[in-house]
Amino acid sequence: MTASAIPATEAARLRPAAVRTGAVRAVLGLALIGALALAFLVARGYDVRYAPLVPSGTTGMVVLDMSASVYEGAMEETIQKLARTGERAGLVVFSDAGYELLPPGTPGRELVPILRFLKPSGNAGELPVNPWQDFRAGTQISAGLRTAREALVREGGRGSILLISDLEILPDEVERLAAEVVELKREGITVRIVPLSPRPEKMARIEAITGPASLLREGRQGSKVRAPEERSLRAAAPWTFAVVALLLVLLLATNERVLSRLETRR
Amino acid sequence: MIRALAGCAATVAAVALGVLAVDVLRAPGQISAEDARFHGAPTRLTSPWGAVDFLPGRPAERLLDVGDDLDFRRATWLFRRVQPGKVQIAGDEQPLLEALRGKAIVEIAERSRRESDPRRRAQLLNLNGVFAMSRYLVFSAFDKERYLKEAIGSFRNAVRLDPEHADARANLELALRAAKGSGIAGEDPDAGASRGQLSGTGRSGGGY
Repeated sequence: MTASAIPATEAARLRPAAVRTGAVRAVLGLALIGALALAFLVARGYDVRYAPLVPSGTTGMVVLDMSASVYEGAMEETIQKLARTGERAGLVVFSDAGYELLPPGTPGRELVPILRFLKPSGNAGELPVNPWQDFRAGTQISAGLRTAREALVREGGRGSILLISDLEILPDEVERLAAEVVELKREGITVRIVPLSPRPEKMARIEAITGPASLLREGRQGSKVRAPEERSLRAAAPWTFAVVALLLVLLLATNERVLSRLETRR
Repeated sequence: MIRALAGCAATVAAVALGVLAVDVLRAPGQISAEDARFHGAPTRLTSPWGAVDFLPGRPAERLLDVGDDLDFRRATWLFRRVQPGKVQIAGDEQPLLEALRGKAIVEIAERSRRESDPRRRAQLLNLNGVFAMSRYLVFSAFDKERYLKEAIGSFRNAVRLDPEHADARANLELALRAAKGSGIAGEDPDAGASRGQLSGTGRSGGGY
């Protein structure tokens, strides 16, 4: 018996209660440590960025359509968003062939200077002369995707592609594109698409091949570029962390209720 | 009071189970009817085997465990709907057929990887090979070799999985003949030491 304890003459009668309290204390202590560790691990798994365009845990590659017949705000919006959120991605430009401009892992801000070549300038709204002027021809999305796939395979790890295109492809390209999507799925590379004012039938065609979840915006002009997570309630909050945190609070409350120090009036 | 509540709950459960039983019992008939429609006029169907059960969430499909069967049937229908060489992608339906062709290529390739039944997998690989072969026949020299190799790989795997698959065997023969004509490395057993993994099985006296 320690000096701070209440003196008792029948300590043996209190032993069962002491054992029970000890057991409850041990179980609660272990549960609290477990919940805290779980909360830590769950929190570590979350991406600090909210609904990034390049999915968390993947190496990104932006594939930019240089043959796009229209300039649209979505192109700038996408690249600015990548730069703002500090995402890392490589860059492939394509027309009827793909060309790797920046390797995977390049900081998103490095993509911003490219925008000046894609933005109409002056009163006439003409596109400025760019280094790839002669490179612009028909649209072969499959060529751009293939170049990006090769870069991602070379890099290793999980990859994802962000395609920015007006989706204006000829019928023969549909088969090439489908075959390339098969290759990408085989490699475990996800594809997300930012359509630039596509015609509804072109949009439907791409949707049939890649699935509706891959489209980051609606077809109409002016619609926002949003990652799929931004549209789902599941990604609106860190639900798993909230549940673990609630469990932690409940365990602490139980500890206070069951094992709190006995208060005596003086 | 509790008895009355329990009675109500039991009645509701009985009705729900009755409806589920009806849904499950009519599912095989629905599948057979869709099969018959598919055999009769496959290109007229728009979404076959889509309404096998009337309850939401497809409980009958789950209880009968026919999801794989239906997926296989749908993949086969997709192929038939846009079969290369038989269905002309033109006219009013062109955008729809283009979309379906793209979807069919992806679906069949994906299903051929995931299918666990060897005979079905062989069939899907054969269809995948047909798509690759059609690309080989249509596209430019740059992609040709890749598509032909893919077609040969698909047909070869199909034959390996189901040696009785007559279509796959015939298709493999055609693809290998095309490979011989185009001189693709590794596909010509008669072509000498530097040409092919099958050189050992080539014509007697042909060397390695």
